[in-house]
Amino acid sequence: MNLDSLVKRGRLPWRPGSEVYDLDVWHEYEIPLTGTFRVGADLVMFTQVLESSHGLSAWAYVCVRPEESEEFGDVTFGSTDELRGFVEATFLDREAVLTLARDDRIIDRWTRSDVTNGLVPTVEGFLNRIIGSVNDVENTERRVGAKFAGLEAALT
Amino acid sequence: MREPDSSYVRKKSCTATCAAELCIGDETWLTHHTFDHFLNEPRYRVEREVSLLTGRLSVEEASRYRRALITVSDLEGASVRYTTAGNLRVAGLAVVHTPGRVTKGCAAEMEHVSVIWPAADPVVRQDIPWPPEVTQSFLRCFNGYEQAGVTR
Repeated sequence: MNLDSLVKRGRLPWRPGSEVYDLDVWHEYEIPLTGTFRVGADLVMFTQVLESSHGLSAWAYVCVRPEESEEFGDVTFGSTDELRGFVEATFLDREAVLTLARDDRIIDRWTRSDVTNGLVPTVEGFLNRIIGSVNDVENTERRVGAKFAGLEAALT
Repeated sequence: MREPDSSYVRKKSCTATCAAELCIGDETWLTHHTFDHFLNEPRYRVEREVSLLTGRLSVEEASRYRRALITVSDLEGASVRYTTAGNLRVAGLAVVHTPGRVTKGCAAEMEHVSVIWPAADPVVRQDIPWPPEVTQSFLRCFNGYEQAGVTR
């Protein structure tokens, strides 16, 4: 599967492209938080890694190996901690697609990244690259405004 | 096509009994949680139901169901309010057990349920948006039960 075309701007994170079908929600509250969907013959796991209370969220996607598909079809969990452990193990040492969403719509920030040390540290690296790119914004008001907003959030 | 489509509820419904809309007893306490403001009806093009959790959960318990990482600021902005499955059913709404893959059983706490209108055949049919009178009926189910902020 071509990971470069998995997520599209403006789509719901749990239906990130028009070719997505067979959504299976594993964990939700208001919106799907973890689950699987299919793209062609491929099964993809998605999960919300981070969510702010101001509408921003970070999402991760990974291709499920064919030999894992049967287990994915009927696995259940006694708690969200168990589920999160399973998700972490699924992503570990694989290449994932990471993206950001605002108000449940994907924005134009995404990357491919190897998950070598857990999902949260991997997403942190993604966020660091985005934060670093603020220095490339030529418009002074936008650049300083972005830094100031980030600082404000960090101090609360 | 609306997103999500009408098969969305069926796919995540409880399979432990033959009727996911009946397996949560009327006496069951339900917690409605929010990190900012309560959803009083499904958001068009996002969902077909309103999410609640079984049990009288604290702000922190319900918050941790939703997020693995939460901050003190998140908890301070979060709220819960309570009702029962019976209250919602009397108000004309359906309460469907929709645990997805996270479940300890129909009688356990911290199980996800979907509040759906109309009440008839809710696993198959969910109408959105809700008429204003349905939203008002839903809201009245929580009268007298609301708790905000950190409750540790």
